[in-house]
Amino acid sequence: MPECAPALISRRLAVFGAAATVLVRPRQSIAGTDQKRPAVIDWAAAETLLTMGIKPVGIADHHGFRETFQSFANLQGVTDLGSTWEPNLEYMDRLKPDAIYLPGWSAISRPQLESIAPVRLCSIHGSGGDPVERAIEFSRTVLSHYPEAEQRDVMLGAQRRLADMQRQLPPRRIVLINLHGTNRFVNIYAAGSLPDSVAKHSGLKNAWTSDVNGFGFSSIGIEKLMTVSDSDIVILNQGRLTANALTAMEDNSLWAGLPAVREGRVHLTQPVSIFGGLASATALAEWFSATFSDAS
Amino acid sequence: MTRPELPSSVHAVRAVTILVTALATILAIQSLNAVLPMANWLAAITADLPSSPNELLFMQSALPRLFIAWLSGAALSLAGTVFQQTLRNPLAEPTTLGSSAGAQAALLASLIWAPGLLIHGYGPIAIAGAGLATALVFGIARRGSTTPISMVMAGLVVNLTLATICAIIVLLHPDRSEELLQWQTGRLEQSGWGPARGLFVCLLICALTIVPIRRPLSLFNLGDDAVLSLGLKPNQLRIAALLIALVLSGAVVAAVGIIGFIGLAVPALVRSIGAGRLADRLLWAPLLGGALLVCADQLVQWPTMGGGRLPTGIVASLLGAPVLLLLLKRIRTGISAAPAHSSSRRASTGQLTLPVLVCAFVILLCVAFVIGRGPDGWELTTDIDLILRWRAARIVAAIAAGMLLGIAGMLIQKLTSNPLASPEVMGVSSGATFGAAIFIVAYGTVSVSALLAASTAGGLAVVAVIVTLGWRHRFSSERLLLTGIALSTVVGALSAFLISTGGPVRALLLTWMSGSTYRVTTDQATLVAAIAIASIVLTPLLNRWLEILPLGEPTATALGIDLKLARGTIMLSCAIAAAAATLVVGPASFVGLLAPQLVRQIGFTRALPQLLACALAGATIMLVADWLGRMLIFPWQIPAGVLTSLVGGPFFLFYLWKGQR
Repeated sequence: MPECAPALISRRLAVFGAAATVLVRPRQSIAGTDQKRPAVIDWAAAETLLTMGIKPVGIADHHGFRETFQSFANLQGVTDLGSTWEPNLEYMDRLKPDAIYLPGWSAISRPQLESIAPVRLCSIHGSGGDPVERAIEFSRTVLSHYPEAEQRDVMLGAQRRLADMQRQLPPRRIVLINLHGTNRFVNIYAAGSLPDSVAKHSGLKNAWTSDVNGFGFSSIGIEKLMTVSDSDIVILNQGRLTANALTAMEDNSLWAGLPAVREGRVHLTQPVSIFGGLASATALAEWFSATFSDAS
Repeated sequence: MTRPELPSSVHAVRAVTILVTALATILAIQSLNAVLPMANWLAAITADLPSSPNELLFMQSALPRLFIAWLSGAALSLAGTVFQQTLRNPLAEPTTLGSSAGAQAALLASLIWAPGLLIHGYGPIAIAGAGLATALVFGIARRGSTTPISMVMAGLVVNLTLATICAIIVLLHPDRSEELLQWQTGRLEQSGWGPARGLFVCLLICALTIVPIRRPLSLFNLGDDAVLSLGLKPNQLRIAALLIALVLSGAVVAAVGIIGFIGLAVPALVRSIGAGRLADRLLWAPLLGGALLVCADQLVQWPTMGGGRLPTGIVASLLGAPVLLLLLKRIRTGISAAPAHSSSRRASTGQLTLPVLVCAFVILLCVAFVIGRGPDGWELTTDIDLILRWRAARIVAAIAAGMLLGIAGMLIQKLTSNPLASPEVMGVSSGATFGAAIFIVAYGTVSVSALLAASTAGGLAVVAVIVTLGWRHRFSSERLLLTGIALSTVVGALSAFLISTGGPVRALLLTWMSGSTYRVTTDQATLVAAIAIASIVLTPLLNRWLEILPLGEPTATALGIDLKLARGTIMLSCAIAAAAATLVVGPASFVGLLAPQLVRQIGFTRALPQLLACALAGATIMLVADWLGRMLIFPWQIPAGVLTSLVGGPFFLFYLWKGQR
């Protein structure tokens, strides 16, 4: 109750004074302030920036990002900004980024973030549309923001390779799934998700067309896979989690009885990042191309 | 429950069970027939390997699902019956005693931190979790005179605390939220016989163990002396019976997740339609429960019901909650209506402690404003701009929400003459959340005032339900609490479902339901602060009513009080206050329970000082929680609502435990 405050000003000052001597330290500047460094809340954006050799000042859920995108070995000097859904605003403000990359589905935070730095939305995931198209578009915007980026050729190369692989594969029917630790359910990916988009661009047909959520996936019981039993099953490899889940699948008799499993039409991808950007899309497209091009 | 057992007529129970079983059978045959024509069933069952995809579906999915539905319903009903008999508590069941929540929390924790523990299946971990949580509930409630209410109260708080822990686990692992939340929603999809076989063995062993001890168990109705007189040890008997119930509860969670209310509603139903003898209830409750859950499970698989996307556990809760509330009128429980008013043990020291409270608050306020963590570690900030931009709105909103919850809690306690009532426990906050959640899901991003309107409507709806059910019973604690439990369970399950269906609103729902001040804008803070100030100014006008109502209806009428007007006004104020606070701190904050308790402990007894002290205590608790939430795992943040329930839950349990002595 603020009206009580005046009577206690002396006490408050005393507390201030005591604490000040202990706590106030000279401000240190963040390493390399002359370089332009963005704060990145969207992982797909982080992937795109790092691929181009731009090191963000911080990434949201740093630990989770490292686990999901293991190809980026050197993340030194990149701090953790907090969770992806609640990145620490005050902390970000203190880091003085030159821009903030925000996932499109998080646009509700935009007004708060605008007061820190210009906000650039990355709408690859969760905004409908075609994620591959959006990833290409996004990488172009990043190139325009950082024309002097060290590795811009890498990005241009990826764009070219993705264009080359366009519609090269036979229209084979597949379903894209991600296994759970609990073996009764799987996440299945359809329109609106990056894996689906990559598959379609490669010429494959995603057999799963039922309702999915805004990120383009849905959690279904394994028995639902029977409705698309003519399709090949592609397991999106999430590293350790997928390895454990595959072990759990061993004593799942329905899984074992699925036509695709019995006939050996199950394919495990290389580790992929479902919520990645152009680099992930290109890697997945290359895997599709290697796996399905020789098939009849 | 001390009345001797009456000769019961089981005809009605038998008829109802047969009817429901027949309905379940028809529904099941229909859906199985759609998977595989009936003519081929025998061939499919006797075949070594399925010869067609449909046979595979029939044998490894549809049939096990049917069995697991029946087994879960039967196991939960049996567990409920045993719990209720052993504890002589008509409200005891796996959900109210914390067993289900304990099993779920143990499973989630193992999935994330110790997946190695799960190689032998989910059963052992789930049962251990159920045992621990229920032991905690007993440990708290079983001192001195254990009333059914105090036990359910302890169970409820353990439930809410565990739910908070689960929420934190999900918050920290958003990428696995579908997998984690599936346990809370009770999905029955099967892909093999493993879970059904496990649950069947469990149920069989438990049922066989119950049979020989059913007679001594029935003597619990007459008190422990009757058991002693037969040369049996009541405590050993009780422990054996409770273990059976715990194994059943844990096994169901391990197999399919939490399914609310079956364990409470079915035994109550069986008793209310005539099965008085324990032996009858032990037989008919599982049979009826199994059939009912099969019906519910068949219902969710209908194409018009979303074709199986709605989890069965949620539908069971949705169907069970109203049944339970209606049944409440018919169950004669013999529980004394109002618990003793923990009262003026200490003289009024209010005059002395109010300034102390104010001082503490102001000091903490300063700390919250100026001390924080930055890129270089802990620091004292004198940068006014930084404070105004990032801290002021959150702090103001937290304080205002705390004040509102304190006031709402105090109002509802005065209204019901029940020191354990609170907006959170009684579901007012859950109703408010639910109203707002539906709004968010339907319209995506929303304006603050629309959200306030939606959550107030939700809160008011709950108050209306409480009033309708409780009016004639003078708000007996039991009915109030049960209403609250029913509503918070349903809302909890529905929220989990909404979050688990994922999509871009997931993040918004997650933060909002966990009670974070993160997205509080200046507008929002101003609005909530304005409502808080209005409450502080206006509620003292209710002073006379608040002083007189706890004295009882006759006194109040004699003093010329219009009871309807008085109660209606207090309820409306309470609903608005709780709804406004819920906007900021989410549904499970415990502040509305903690603040009035704290204030009573300190020794405030008169309504007006109590009200001010409650507002102040609530504000202080929220202030500290918000600050700690921003500091503890910096730069990550723990929502203030999660922190207050994590701290408030155990604190309240400790108070309950102490109060029992």
